[in-house]
Parts: sequence; structure tokens; C-alpha cells
Amino acid sequence: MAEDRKVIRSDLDFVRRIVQSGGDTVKQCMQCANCSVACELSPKDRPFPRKEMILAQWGQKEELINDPDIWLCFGCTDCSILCPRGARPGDVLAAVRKEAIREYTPMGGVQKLLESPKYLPVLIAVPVVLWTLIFLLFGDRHGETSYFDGIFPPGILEPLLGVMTMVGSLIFAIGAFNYWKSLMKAHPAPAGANFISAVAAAASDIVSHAKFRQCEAGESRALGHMLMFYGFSLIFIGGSIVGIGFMFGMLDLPLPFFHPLKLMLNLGALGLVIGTILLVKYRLTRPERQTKGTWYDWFFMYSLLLTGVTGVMVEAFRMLDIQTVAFGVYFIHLVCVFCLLGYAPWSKIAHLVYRSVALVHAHYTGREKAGAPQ
Amino acid sequence: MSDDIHVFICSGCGIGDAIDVDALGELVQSEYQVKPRIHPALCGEEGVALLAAALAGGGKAVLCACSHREKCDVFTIPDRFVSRVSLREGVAWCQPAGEEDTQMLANDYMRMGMVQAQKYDVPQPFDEEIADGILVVGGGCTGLTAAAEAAAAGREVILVEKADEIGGRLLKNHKQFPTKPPYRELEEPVIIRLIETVRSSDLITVHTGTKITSIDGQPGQFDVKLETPSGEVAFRVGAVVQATGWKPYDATKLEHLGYGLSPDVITNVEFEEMAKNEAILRPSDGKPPREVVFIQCAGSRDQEHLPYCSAVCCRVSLKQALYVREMDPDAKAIILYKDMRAPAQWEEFYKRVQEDEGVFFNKGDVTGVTVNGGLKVLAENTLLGEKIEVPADLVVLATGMVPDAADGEAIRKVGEARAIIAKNDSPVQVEMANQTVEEFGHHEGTEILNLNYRQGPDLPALKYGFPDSHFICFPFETRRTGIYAAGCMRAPSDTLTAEEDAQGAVLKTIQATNLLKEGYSVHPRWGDQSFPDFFLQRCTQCKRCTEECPFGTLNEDARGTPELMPTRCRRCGICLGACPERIVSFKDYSIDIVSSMLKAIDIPDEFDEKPRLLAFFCENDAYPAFDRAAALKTRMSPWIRVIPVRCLGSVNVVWIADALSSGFDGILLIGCKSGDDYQCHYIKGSELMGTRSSNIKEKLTQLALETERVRIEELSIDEFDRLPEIINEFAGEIEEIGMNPFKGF
Repeated sequence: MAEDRKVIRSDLDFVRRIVQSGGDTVKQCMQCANCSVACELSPKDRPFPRKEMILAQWGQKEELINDPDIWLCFGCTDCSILCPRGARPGDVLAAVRKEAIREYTPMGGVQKLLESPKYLPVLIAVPVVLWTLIFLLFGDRHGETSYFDGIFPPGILEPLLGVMTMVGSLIFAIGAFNYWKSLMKAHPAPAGANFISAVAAAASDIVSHAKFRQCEAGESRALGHMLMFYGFSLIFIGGSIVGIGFMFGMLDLPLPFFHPLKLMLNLGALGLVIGTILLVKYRLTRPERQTKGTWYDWFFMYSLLLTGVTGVMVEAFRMLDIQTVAFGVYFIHLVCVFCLLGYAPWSKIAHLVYRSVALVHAHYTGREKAGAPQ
Repeated sequence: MSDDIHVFICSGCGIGDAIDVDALGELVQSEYQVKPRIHPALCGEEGVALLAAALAGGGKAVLCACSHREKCDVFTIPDRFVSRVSLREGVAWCQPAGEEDTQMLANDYMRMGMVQAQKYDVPQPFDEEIADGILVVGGGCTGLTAAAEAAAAGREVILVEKADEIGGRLLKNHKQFPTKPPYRELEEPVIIRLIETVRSSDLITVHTGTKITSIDGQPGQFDVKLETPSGEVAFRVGAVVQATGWKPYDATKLEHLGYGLSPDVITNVEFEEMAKNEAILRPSDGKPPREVVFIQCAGSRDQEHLPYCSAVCCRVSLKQALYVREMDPDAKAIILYKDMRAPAQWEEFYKRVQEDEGVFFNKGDVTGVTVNGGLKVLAENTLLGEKIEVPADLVVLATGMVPDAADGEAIRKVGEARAIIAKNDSPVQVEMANQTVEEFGHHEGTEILNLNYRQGPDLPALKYGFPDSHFICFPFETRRTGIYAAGCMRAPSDTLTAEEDAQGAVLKTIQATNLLKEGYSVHPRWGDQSFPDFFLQRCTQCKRCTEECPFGTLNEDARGTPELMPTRCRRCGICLGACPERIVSFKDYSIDIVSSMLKAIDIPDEFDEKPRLLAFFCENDAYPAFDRAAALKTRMSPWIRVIPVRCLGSVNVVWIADALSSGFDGILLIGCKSGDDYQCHYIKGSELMGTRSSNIKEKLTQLALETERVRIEELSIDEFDRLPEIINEFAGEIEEIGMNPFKGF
């Protein structure tokens, strides 16, 4: 039969994964479409998140993970606030996004470790063992050298971080490529679409945080997210420059306090800490009906916060010249940095990559233009 | 006892402002030689005391005050007749004050009241012995509840069940959906408890494997004969509850949904039996199904099958989806629905099933089921606007309920047709009879109650096969007094509704038998002690009354003479309206009383340019609407004179003829809505008036009068705003047509 019918095979396991990943209310949806009406970002044509709720209820995994709309949602939870059944479409979409990350990232199974606090000891043990080994193998265990340079020699540390970053970036690149290919297959771009301007438009969206500001029902997360985003970016870029500069012998560590790179890093740290605190506060004060929050999210938030806080503390103790404390805190800081970067391809931070890809795709295919907010 | 008539005129509530009550009083004195008492507030303690004192020694009263629908509590004097003249609603509130026409209207209403009082005769109540036992037909959930409830009220009950055991369809149920808060968990079927209750009651006699041979007589005196496995049983009961339940819609008609084409397409009833036997297996290979697709509204809400919603199938599928999930935690239950209907608290149950990760709901129109190359359900117009196919291991059709009742009128039609064929008098008649047999022949042999009623052996049915009743307003009433329909044969129900239904029907039987013991009519004219009297010497055996009585009150003897069964009667007066010989009358409502009332109205002569319009308003809807419009102080034409009638069907054409020959210029008849969603309390009153209107038109033409002089309207009680428009427009039209040329003859 040449009839164009969609075969519905419900994936019960996928439903279970959504339910376990913060979308526990997905089945409560009665398909009234209030969510799509409430959403300030949803396009008029095939609006989300209603169709995603239907697909999620039915366990339509293939369609969902190929659905770029899941990334057009910025998680403001306006829809969840207004949902008459308490089905929390916002959280369901977050769960679907997590599943998409798992699906496209190589070695997606690693994500399982990030889903439950019961794996936390493993996650922490990895960097603890790593840093301890480095300390035992390369460090100055007798404290003869001043500061940490001898304890965690930058000559070892920086290249290691460099390698980690490159491996991570490679994994991200593969994931992003997989995702792009999959998206283009499911939703091809119209003839004459301009890729460059799509990238520019997506970049503008990201830099300006414009989408964050459109959500209305809840308190805005724009400021917190912006501070965090820019703080993180400054540290990431600044840190990378410092690392590369050091490895090529152009910089001596530690940098003096008024060195422009040092100022950049400190500014970044400030933004990161304040931004993250705002976001943590936001999350903690939301009623459960609006959003429940998952360990997967919290792990990311706490990694960020602790990385920022310990980084600032290390600097402070160093300036106060309280060496033993500074050393201990530095160790914790390094563990946090690993937790943040080492698991990045599977963690919530991966949204940075996948959302960017989806935004480019949305602009490229015209979905974003069609979806100009009402 | 004195036959004196005492007249009271109230001047309160604005009556005194609109009407010169003293002048009216003088008119009473001059025309009827009665000295009226005028009081500013008759409904007050003093006024009521005056009335009571006047009637203490006997006599009747004419109370010129408010409408007869108002203040019935204070103006009812035991064993005395009080004729109510509506000066307040009928005159003061809808007419300008102090006008000559207003005064003339009041005068006429007073005259009508006087005549009514003069002609009124005291009804003699029916006072034969009334049995109060109850026959319950059907031993399912409804029947057993009815029996248990009636016994709990101290009534003797005889329960008849055609099957060999009581319990009915629920015996085959695995579980039932929740009936109590928090409406989340499936429950054991209630039927086990009900059977125990009935079995343990001393007041209930159960006959299983039994048929009803015949039911003779009337409410309070139903003589029942049963054919039981141990021989014939005969007894008398007062009332009957019919609770014969339902049967599933014939799924063999659902071939488009794969039924009959694949053994793996089954009905919800068959699936329930599987669950009951704890063997949910695919019939084709005996393996447990992993994907069970439920198709809702299978043959329901479908003009080609059952046009109605059976109310329970959605909840049944919700329940059965849980069976699937209990059977195997990895099995999927997929429900394809048009609209999910889980009314009232069952929304909670729906939510609970929805929460189950393995139950999938999809709204859409199921277009078919393909059976070749694996079972697949095809649907379109889903919420995402897609055409989909859903692979299935097992398809369950949620089929609806068909009442397990018989259509008494259809059976009668076949019987009569067969008689005509046997007689073989006229080829045309035989031809028509053959057609009737072809159309209704399948009803033969479906008899359940075997009533000895001229109008058929069972309750009359609506077009869907449910017994006809006025079920919006009076759910358990049927068109056979003393026989009450309950449960799924009345309307598709769940167990809780069926139990409530049974309680309601039993209350009706108790109410009916108790009223009959007092000699009163039952609903809707409860408390009425009159019943029709047939002056049979003049009967021409035209059978119009026996045919038209909506309640099958009248049987016929061999010659076709009506035989009155008084307690079957609801006192609507349709027989009175039907009789061309005018031999039917009630003591307090007769051809003579109404004719005399309308003749008492003063008809000014042609040159006064004061037309007179007579109105017959049904007392159930039109008259209350008239009162309501007056209460809103709506102006109405002063030419109109309103006579409330029991039902528009009780209007005898002779009244219209009398009115026209008396010089009335127009006649307005307003009844309740007819048709499928009729609102007539007596089912077909306004419909009958519609049929009689052709006689009326003929009459008008004979008299060389314009046919527009008689108008028939239908009005429901909430359309009171339309009523003044109707009246005023009619008055305008009559003024245009001109005066009745018979004036003054």
C-alpha cells in the first residue's frame, strides 16, 4: 500500500526514561494545548510543547530526538505554571533534551552516572585518584617548593587539561555532527537557505539572551544565566589562553594580580559565582508544581558553583598566604573542575552545543522565522 | 351540605390599583346574587380565616385574587372546592390600570370562575383494595438492588429472572471500576454482595428460570402469572420495576473493524470474560498479547450502528487497560478514542489510568482494522493531524449497550397486522399488513412483561429501543403507570447509576402504591382524585380514546368499547379531548364545564370593536409561562381570555366550535413541545392537537371562516418572554382579519 501512514510503535522504555528523568508527570497531560498557548516562544505553526507532550506520552523516541523544537524551549516553565493537569511540560522537555544528549553523544551510556546521586562517589573518585596520582608522581611532597607549582606542576597540569579539553571537544564535535545530520534528514532546509546568516542569527540569539527575556509567567532567569554564561566563557577562554601561553613559554605562572588575563579570569569567576547563586536560588524557590529539578541538573549546578567558589577561595588563601588550607582547597577545586569538564559531553552543560546546533538549524530551515513570537 | 358559593375579592398586590374591585363586587351581586367579600390581603391570616369560616359549613368558594399556581398552601381548604380567579397575573399585572378593557377582562375571569364553581362536582376517589407488593423483573445489578431496597422499605418483593441464576451480566465481570473515593482502585463486582442480600431477605421471593406468562389489571391490582420450572405461579402486586438490563451490540456488524475477520479482534465483553477466567490470551495462537489496542465507540455514536453513547465503554476500557498492565508490566494497552468520557468523579480514575506508563491514549478517528500481514488499526485525524497505523496483538472493540427490552407498540402492530392477514378482507389492507409484518416482524416473540394492555404487551419504546418516558424531567416514569424502568434498559448505566436507578424506581413504586391507597392519581397530577367517566350508552366504538391514551389506560372489550382501568389513568384528559361523541368527563373537568366557562364570557357586539380571543393554555408549561410573563409586568392584549387545560390533548374540538359560534374572533392553543425531544407531560398531547387541527380547519372552512382564526403554538416553560409576543401578534392578526361574523347569533 502506498498510503502514507505513520506506524506507531510505542517505546515503553523511552517513556520510563522520561518518567525517571524529571518527566514523571508526562502521562498526566490531557492534551488541552494550554502549554502551547502559554509559551511565548512557540511558533504558531506546529507549536510546542503540546506535540512533544503527545509524542512523549506515546514513547515516540525517534521523532522526539529528531525534533529541533525541544531546543527552542529555554525552560522558563511558563507552560508548567499554567498546565491545568500539573503535567509540567517544561520538565518533560528538559527530560527529552537529556535523552537527545544521550542519544547523539558518543559513549552516551556515561550519562547514566550523572543521573543519580548514587554514582557520585564514582564521579568524585575519578578526579581524586587522578590528582592524587599526579601529586604522588610529580608533586613536591616535602613542601620545599613555594606555592603549588611544585605540588601540581603546571607543566603536567596544563597539558593534561589541554588534552581533556581537546578530547571533550572532539566528542562534542562528533555529537554535534551526528545531531546536525539527523536533524537535516528529518527536517531538511528549504532551497536557498543561507547557512552563514543562520549561524549569525543563532549566535546573536545566544549572545543577547533574547529568548530568555520573553518568558513571562515566572521570574526571569535571564540575568542569572547571562552572568553564569559570560563568567564561564571568560574563564574558559581566559584559562585556555593562560594554559596555551604557559605551555609555549610565553607566560609565567602564577600571573600577577593586575595582569589583564588575571583580571579577566577574576571577572569571570565573579560572574560565574553570582550567576550560579542566582540560578540556584531560582531553582530552590520554585514550587514543585512548576519544576521539580533533577539530580542531573543539580550535579551540573553544584559543579559550577563549587568550581567558582573554590577558585575564588584558592586565590584568597594564596594572597593571605595560608598555604596548607590553600592547598586543600586547590585540590577540591581541581576535583570540581574535572567534574565540570571531564563529564561535560554527557552532562547538562552539553546543552551549550546541542542547543546551538538546533538554533542554527532552526534559523537555517526557517523554523525560527516562522516562529516569530506573537 | 350547602351548595352556596362564596365570593372573595382581593385588592392586594396591585389588583385594587388596576381594577375597580367595588364595581366588580357589584357585578357579582347583580349577575349572581352573591354578596362578595372584598379584602386588601386575602392571603394574610385574617383573609384565610374569613375563607375558612365561610366554607366551614360547606359550599364552594370563588377566590378572585392571584393565579391558581400561587399560594396553594394558604388557599387550600380540605374537602372544599376553591375556584381561583387570576385577577393578579391574568389582569392587574399585564394590563394598564383603570382602563375599561382591564375591567372587562376582570369581569370575564370572575364569570368563568363562577361558572366553574357552579358546575364543579366532588370527585369520588377510587377506593378498592390496593396491593403494595412489588414485582421486579430482572435479577441483575439493578433488579437485585431494587428488590433489596423495596424489601428494606418493608415491601414484599417477587423477583423474576429468566436465567437459571441471579446476578446477570455482572457475574461475568472480573472487576468493576471504582465506585468510591479516591476512585483509583478497581473493585470486586458489587454483585456478590447484592446476591447475598437478596437471598437472605425474608421479604423477597426469587423465581429463576422463569418467564412472565401474563400481567393483568392495573396499578395496585396487577395480577401476575409466571411460568416457573416448578409450574405456574400466580399472585397480585401493586407495582412493577422492569430491570431487564442490556445486551452488547451485535459485533458481527462491525466487520470494518475486523470483527469476524480475525480471531484476535474481540469485544470488550469477550475480553472481560477472558480476564474473569484469568486467561488474557490471543485467540489465534493462545499467547499472551503484548500490545492490546482498544477501539472506543466501536459501533457507537455512529449513525449506521448505535447513534448514542453508551456512557460506560470508556471507563470499561480504562479498567481493561489495567487488566493488561497487571497481566504483564511490559505489555502495552493502547486506547484509541473519539472523546474520553469519564464523567463526574471518574475523572480521578481516568487520571489514575493515564498515569500508568504502559497505557497510551490517542484521540483520532479509527477508519479500519487490517488483518492481513499482521493486525493493524488504522486511524486518522489524530491530535497531530496524522494518519497512523498501530500494530496490535489483540484488538478490543468497546461496543455499546443495547437495551434488553421489548417494544410493546411494535409487537402490537405485528399482532394486528397478522389478524388483518388472517381475516383477508381487503387486498389493500392485506398488502399494508404484510408491509407492517415485514418491518416489525422481528419484534414477535420478544415479549417480556406480557401485559394485558390494548396498546401492547410491553412498554412502548423510543426509536433506540429504550422505553419511552419523560426521562429528562421524570426519569423512571414510563408510559405505563405503576411500571417503572430502571438500569441499563432505561439508559446505559454503570453499576453505581444502576443501583441509584433501582432505588429511584423503587421509591416510585412505593409512592405510586401509597397514593393509590389514598385514591390519588400518581405523577404528574398527583393528588388528583378524579378519573374519567365514560357514558358508554353513547359510545360508538370508534376506539379513538383507546388508541390515543398515552398510558394504555383503556382496554377494549370484543366490540371495541373502552374498559377503564382507573388506576392506570394519569388524568390528562386526552380521552376527553379525543372523543367525538363527548361522552368522557371528569367531575371537575368536562366538556360542559369548559364550554360553560367560555360561554360565560361577555362578547361585545361587532360595532364595539372589541375582539375576543379565547386561549387554551396547557397548565404544565404555557400557563406558568403566562404567569411568569405577567409577573414581569409584560403588557398583553386585553382581548385575550385564558382557560388553563390539563393538556392540549384534552382540548375537545367542540370547545373550539362552541367558541366560534359564541362569537370569539380567534382561538389560541398553546401546548408543550412535541417531537423527539418532546416536553409534553403526557407524551403526545400537543402532537395529538396537531393531528386534530386538520378537523378544526375543516370546521372553519365549513363555517366559511378564515383558518387563521385558530392558531396552535408550542412553547416551553422557559420561553415566557415569547408568550406576550405570540399573544399580541395573534391579536394584531385577528384585528386585521376582522370580527367573527357569527357575533350576536
